Amino acid sequence: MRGYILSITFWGKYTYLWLKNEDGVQQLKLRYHPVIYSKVRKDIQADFQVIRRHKACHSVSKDFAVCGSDNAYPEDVIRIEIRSPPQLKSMVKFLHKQKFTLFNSDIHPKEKFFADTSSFPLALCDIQVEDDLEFSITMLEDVYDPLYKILPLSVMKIDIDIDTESHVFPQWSDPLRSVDLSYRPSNKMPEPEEFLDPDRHRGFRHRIEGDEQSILLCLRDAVEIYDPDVLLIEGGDSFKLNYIAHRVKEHGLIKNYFLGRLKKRMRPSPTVGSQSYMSYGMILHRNTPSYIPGRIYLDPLNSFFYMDSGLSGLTELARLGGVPPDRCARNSIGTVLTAMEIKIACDSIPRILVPEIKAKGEKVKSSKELLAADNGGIIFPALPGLYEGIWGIDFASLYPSIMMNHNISSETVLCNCCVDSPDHIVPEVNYHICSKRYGIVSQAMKLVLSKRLNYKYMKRSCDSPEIYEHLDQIDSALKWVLVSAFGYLGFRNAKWGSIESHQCVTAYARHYLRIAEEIAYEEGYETIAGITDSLFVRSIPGTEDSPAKMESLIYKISKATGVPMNIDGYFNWIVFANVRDSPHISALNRYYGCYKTGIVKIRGIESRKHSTCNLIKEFQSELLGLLSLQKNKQEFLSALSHCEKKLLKWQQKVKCGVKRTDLVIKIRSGRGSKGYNSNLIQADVAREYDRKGKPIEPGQSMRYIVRDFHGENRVIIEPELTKDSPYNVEWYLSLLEKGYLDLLETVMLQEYGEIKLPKLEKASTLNSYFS
Amino acid sequence: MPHLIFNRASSISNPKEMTLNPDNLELLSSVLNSWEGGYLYLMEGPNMKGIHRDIHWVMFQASISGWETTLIDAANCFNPQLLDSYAQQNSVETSDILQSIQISRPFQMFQAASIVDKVYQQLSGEAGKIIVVTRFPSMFYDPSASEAQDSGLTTGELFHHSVGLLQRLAHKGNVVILTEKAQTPEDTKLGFAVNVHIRFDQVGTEYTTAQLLSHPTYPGRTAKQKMQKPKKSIHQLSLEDFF
Repeated sequence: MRGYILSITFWGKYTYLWLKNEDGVQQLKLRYHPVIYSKVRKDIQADFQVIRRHKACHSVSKDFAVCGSDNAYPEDVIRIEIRSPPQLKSMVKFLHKQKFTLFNSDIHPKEKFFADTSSFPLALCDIQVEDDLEFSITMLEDVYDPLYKILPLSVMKIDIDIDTESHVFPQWSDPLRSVDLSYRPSNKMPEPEEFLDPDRHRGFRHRIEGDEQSILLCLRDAVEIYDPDVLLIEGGDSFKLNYIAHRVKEHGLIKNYFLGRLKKRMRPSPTVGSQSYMSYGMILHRNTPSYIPGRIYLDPLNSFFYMDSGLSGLTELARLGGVPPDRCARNSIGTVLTAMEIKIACDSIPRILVPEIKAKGEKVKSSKELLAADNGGIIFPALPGLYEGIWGIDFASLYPSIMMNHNISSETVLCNCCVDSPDHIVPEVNYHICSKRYGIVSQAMKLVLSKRLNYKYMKRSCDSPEIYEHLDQIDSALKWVLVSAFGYLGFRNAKWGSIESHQCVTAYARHYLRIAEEIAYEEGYETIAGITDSLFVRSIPGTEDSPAKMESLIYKISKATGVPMNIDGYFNWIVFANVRDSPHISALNRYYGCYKTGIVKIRGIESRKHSTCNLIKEFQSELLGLLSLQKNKQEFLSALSHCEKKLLKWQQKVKCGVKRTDLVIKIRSGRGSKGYNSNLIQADVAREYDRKGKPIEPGQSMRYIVRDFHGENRVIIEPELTKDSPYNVEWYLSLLEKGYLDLLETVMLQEYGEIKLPKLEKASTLNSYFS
Repeated sequence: MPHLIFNRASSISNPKEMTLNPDNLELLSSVLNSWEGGYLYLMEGPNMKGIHRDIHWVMFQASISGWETTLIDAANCFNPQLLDSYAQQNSVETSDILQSIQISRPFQMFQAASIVDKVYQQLSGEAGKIIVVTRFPSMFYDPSASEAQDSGLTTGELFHHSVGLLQRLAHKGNVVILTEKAQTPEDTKLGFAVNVHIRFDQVGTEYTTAQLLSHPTYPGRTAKQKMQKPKKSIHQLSLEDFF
């Protein structure tokens, strides 16, 4: 049977798989036997006997594979097929007790299905099922090919409205008021007509109201009749899906209530699982995902990829990594990257087996060597101030390109096979890189980089806005993979990561930026600033400056480094900010400038921060809009007086009263409601959420406005906000001032030697703050 | 057995500088006269920063006394600037100090176990080295490693294996020092596995204490010291001052 694998579920000893084709969605019942591998202990026949003793063993045979990517050559291994996925755990436990060294045993079962069967989700395949439910899958398309037919998916969005009455946050016992359904027969992509079912090809929006039981039954029937491939429930993972299960149980409907394509009962739980974790120094929070069998169930609030890259981006990543789209949507980029690398390892010839644990630690070296090696990207700090006539040039995907070009992967850096006669030595750190094997990470980078390059070209030549959007979503998803690939290389649990390979990448990046700076100087450009992979240069007075000359410069740099360099743009003016309280020290990551086209580029200023309220974002945007009309440094300076007027106008606005939603500040709690001992404002916000019935976990977001910064009731949380809620005028005025100085402090200090602020009219009484 | 005896007062040329960062050194020297080869030491207490500053001083002293140090830095606390300041105070070349300290940083328990294994293989035939392992037990009780723990090798097995190797290294005449933040979990029995156990604590807001809980030859003892408040910390310096 031909079709696209939509979803898989393991239930009992069977695997259920849903295949979408011209005839609709077909449910297949299969016997899937997960495969794990083991090293031979002493005698392979004796090992076979031990393994066969376990009841979960389906078959055992001899195979030939590379045991972990640190080994260069294949060897005899034991291939063990297990009867069914639920028995995998007990078999692994048994083999550990017997001191077998296992491979491919800690891969998530759904990803393992695709790795073992060499298949991919949402890609065209042919499945042959025998009478005894044994099966084989043949892929009919190459997932690495950038041109492929997009599977049209029918989408149903469910919005539920809960009657919360007296309390702020809903509870399991609150009754359901109504359900809004929207249905779309397929996603926006162009679709072949044969996929459309003539009876249900029109989308609709519908509100279900009435008594709670009939709402619930109506919802169940709608899902059953329209049978969507994708179910979207905003907040489903954090509350709503479990809430529906509670309401269904309350009405005694649990036995016959199914939202999936399999008759598997919903199970209401008294609490919703969640996890707080640390990533890049930030504490983040994620709800435990729920899955609905047979459908791609997504919670947009718990899915970064879906929100950022849409269904097209999600499809691309699911195909590349062999990860079911609902799991792909909820996991980190690292999980997708690892899945991609596992796929590459499993499809290698000979097969590379994935070890269970990553035990390769940092090489023992002298602390002098460590100091030389453990550096990040290079920065040429700018002298703070306003500049004009600056070119911005940057390397395209510098770190991933280095990983690809220089074969950087954990198994290739400081490999054992080239230790005596190293061909490739990394500058500065003096590590050698393997010249005999191509690393798994490098292969993954090659795959993603080449795909992205293709999509970039396709985007340029695309006329259709719909196809452009689709390509753009894929491009965005691939970009996220590339952006995270370098960081993930140094992650402690990354299967193919190591500190040394991480250090090699930054060493090459520093080397290349220095080369770029030298070539620019030789060509008549002086460097104003440089940040890791980009340079800001201007022509040395007396030398020619033209776009053609700049094109020639970036060609020379690209040729010398092997990494393509792009012209970011020509800035009419650009401001490199200073650190607070130190006018002569550059802030390094805080600058803004206006391209010749009038578009403004901002980095590190208040508007870019997630926590900043709309008031400041709009204020800074208005200032930047005004400044973007200025063509050079002189005009910029003459516009400063207009900026002062804008500040006064916005201050007046705040005094007179602004939309309360524009004042909302969003922060992430580092410690959760129970973790604060201090009197910080975030502690107050977390406690307020707790008081109103929603305890905050570390990493969860909180939204609030400041009511009285120095008083007892300092904040109002967003769910309690009304259009007349009081707010602390003085505090928000100081925020405006901060936003103003954030942009213009450096320029004022450079030009006037001091900070000039327009005089504010102070409010005479406390009551006037709350007017 | 080789002996390491560090006399802090004679070797630090600028004691005033040391008072800027109140730490446990005075206390340590009150309860422990010397670092002796052949022993496994455990230093624990809530103020990990202080303990790790002391460890840097120990490594520095060892280095100028001609000893080589291997630092398994699970706490990722290695601070070359601190060593540099000690070197400058004592007119010693910083690069010589850095060259004598071998370092490796594990970031999860499997790496910690494999690095201990590697160090054991490298040093098993040698004596008279200093091996420092920071944040040693808690690396094996990392809740985020739960996924990896499913792989059959239990945390306990790995931990006991690593402690065994470190004990053997100590037994061959090396000085092995472990640091830990909290009181050692009872089930690990690390307190019984080490030869010398020192705990630093805080009494109220004014005093810090050092307790020698176990030692093969000395009886248990406690030293108490008034906490010194820094007059000016590095955070209070302006950036211009700093540069």
